[in-house]
Amino acid sequence: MIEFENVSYRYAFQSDCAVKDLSFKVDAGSVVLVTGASGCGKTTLMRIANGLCPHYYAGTLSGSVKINGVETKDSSVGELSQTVGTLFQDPEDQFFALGVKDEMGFALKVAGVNAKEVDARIQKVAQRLEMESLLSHSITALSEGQKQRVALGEILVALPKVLILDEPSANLDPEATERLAQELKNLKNQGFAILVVDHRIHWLRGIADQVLVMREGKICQRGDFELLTNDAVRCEYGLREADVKDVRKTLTQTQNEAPILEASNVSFDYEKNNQSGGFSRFKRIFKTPEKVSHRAELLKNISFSLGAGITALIGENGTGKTTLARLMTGLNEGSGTFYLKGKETKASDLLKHAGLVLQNADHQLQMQTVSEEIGACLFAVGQTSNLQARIDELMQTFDLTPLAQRHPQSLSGGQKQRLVIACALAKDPDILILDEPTSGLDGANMQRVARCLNDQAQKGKAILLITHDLELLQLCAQHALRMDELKKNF
Amino acid sequence: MAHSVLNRLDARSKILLTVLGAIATIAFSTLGAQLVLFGVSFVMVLLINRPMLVFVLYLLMGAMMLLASACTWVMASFIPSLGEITFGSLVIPFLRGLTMMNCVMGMALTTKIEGIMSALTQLRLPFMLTLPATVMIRFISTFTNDVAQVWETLKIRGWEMGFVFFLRHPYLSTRLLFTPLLFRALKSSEALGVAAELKGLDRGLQQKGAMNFQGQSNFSKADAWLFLGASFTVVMATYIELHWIEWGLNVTRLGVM
Repeated sequence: MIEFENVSYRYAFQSDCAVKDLSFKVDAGSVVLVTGASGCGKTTLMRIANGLCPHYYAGTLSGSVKINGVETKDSSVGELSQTVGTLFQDPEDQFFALGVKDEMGFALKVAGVNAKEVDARIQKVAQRLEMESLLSHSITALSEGQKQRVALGEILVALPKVLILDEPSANLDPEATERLAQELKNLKNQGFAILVVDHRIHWLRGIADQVLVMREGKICQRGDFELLTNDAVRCEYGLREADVKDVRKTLTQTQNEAPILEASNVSFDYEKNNQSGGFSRFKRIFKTPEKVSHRAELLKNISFSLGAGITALIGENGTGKTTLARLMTGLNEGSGTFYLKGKETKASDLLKHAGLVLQNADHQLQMQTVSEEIGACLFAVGQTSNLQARIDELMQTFDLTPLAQRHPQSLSGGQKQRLVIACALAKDPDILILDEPTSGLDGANMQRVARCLNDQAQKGKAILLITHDLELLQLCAQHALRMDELKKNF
Repeated sequence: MAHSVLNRLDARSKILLTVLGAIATIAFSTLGAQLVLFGVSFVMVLLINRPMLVFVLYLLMGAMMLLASACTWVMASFIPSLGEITFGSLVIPFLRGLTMMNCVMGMALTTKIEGIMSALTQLRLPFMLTLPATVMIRFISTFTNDVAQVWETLKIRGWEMGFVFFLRHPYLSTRLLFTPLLFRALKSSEALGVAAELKGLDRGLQQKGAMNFQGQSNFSKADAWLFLGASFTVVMATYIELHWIEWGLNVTRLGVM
């Protein structure tokens, strides 16, 4: 189904090839996993397979790439996409319509498939992926995990023969990842050829028939899944664990002695938020109001406390974890009372004492160099004495010193992530909240982030970690706040 | 998509209205006629039901006009042959810009993208026009979401953005706001292009596909009222153009662009 033969690709205006001499096959009814450290050429490989290289991203392709026996050079991206379904790491990159149902049927309607048949196929896939309740939603109102499910559903609706999945588990909770694994097994049995590009590998045990490990644009190792159980191989190529323990149940409830933050009876509903004032009102100038749905009252009477150390906020996709973090920093307006070190504090004032790292790093980088970026954060909160020393200290902590003069937007995903965490710490907050900080990071970068968080916890910071990454939880989580327990009074 | 009475209108009506607005703003050159077009289009943009967004758009447009005026003044100082730059010579082009902004925002924020694409195809416009137009209109909603997120990030970082801060640190304010927006705009436009290609739009939307999307909306009484209102506006603007030439500012027909 997918056949690469001595494939090399060089992007326009680049002197080096992004991938070199790749040869492999993905047969019908098989799953091939491609993994490797960030920047090893996985994304380019994926773009070659779906035709975006060279049809969209101009460059020079040598060798032969065949999908279903047809050279990709001789087909347009649109033609290829009728056979190949691609799931992007950031699902928003593949959405064109703004409603879930509209998006799922978009490509089929463009192809001229009858609207009734499109609707029937959407219902069938939605049922299979347990996402019927999402069909009436606006894309912008979904959580990242829900967006990923919609993107997968959209692909399956088109009935392709070949699937290319880029980090499909990056935003999914472990249960949803398990369901995805099951779905891949079913598709494999139905004769699909599936190419998965992922840093998280543990969930593909028993599913991947072949594993390709890439470095510097080349396939360096190939074999079955057992290859990844070899510690030396994983260490050499900066890979993640092949076996991961689920520590969520063993994490203790957050400790209550000397809490840094206490929240009492926090509630949030979308409808009220759409009508409230203050900062939310200004933000809504640009943002389309959230569509009110059955989720309107998302959180009700939530109470918890947060002490020093790393506390994981655990819950399924779409249960309100990010919303809770936003309430704790006054970005969303709800009701309830917050106490900072025992003193009642307005939600809108909590942001002065909290560092928040959101998922999209691109929005958070403004300056010309990494060093200036951290300096600007210090300046923003009025820290002007010993500025350079503090910048150097933060760069050293996050291993950013060699990148000090690089433009922040030119950094890799892992480097950007470390920089935004460093920026969040620049204001020396009492509370640090991180939303999926290791999504899309390779093993080495994930461990580096975990080490940084452990260091900060030892310094007495309260760290709230919103993550589905079981490896990260295993490495650094000390306590847990569970959304299902917090929502007991709902 | 904004919740508005304009949602009840067919996408084709809104596109035709925008085209009519574009033709009319170019065709009329007296202040009176331009004010009529502006007034009616302003009512339309208010109907999108997001007054604060409209307010901010007008602020941005105002800033752009100030910048344009300053540049024109500087050019006229160095090149006297350009002639004297007066308020009268600038107000008509500015009104044209505002009218077009009203029409485009009214259409873009109240119409499903597939409706726009389908309407453009059914109007038999060439594909080389329909695809870029669709992607550009789709980009507006992505961009407004990016602006919201960038603004949020500034608050998270601790920047006390406001008028005083902007006056004290104009360069820094501009950098803080526009650098991430520029990079996001580049990334978003690339992503939209990829999404369009993967959905088969690179081969164009055939009439059959357009009919699939069109099934979601049809002409209604609201569209008839819209065309009636638009016709009345054009007639009124034409009357003023012909009979009230000297009203307001003494602007000649050729000296306004």
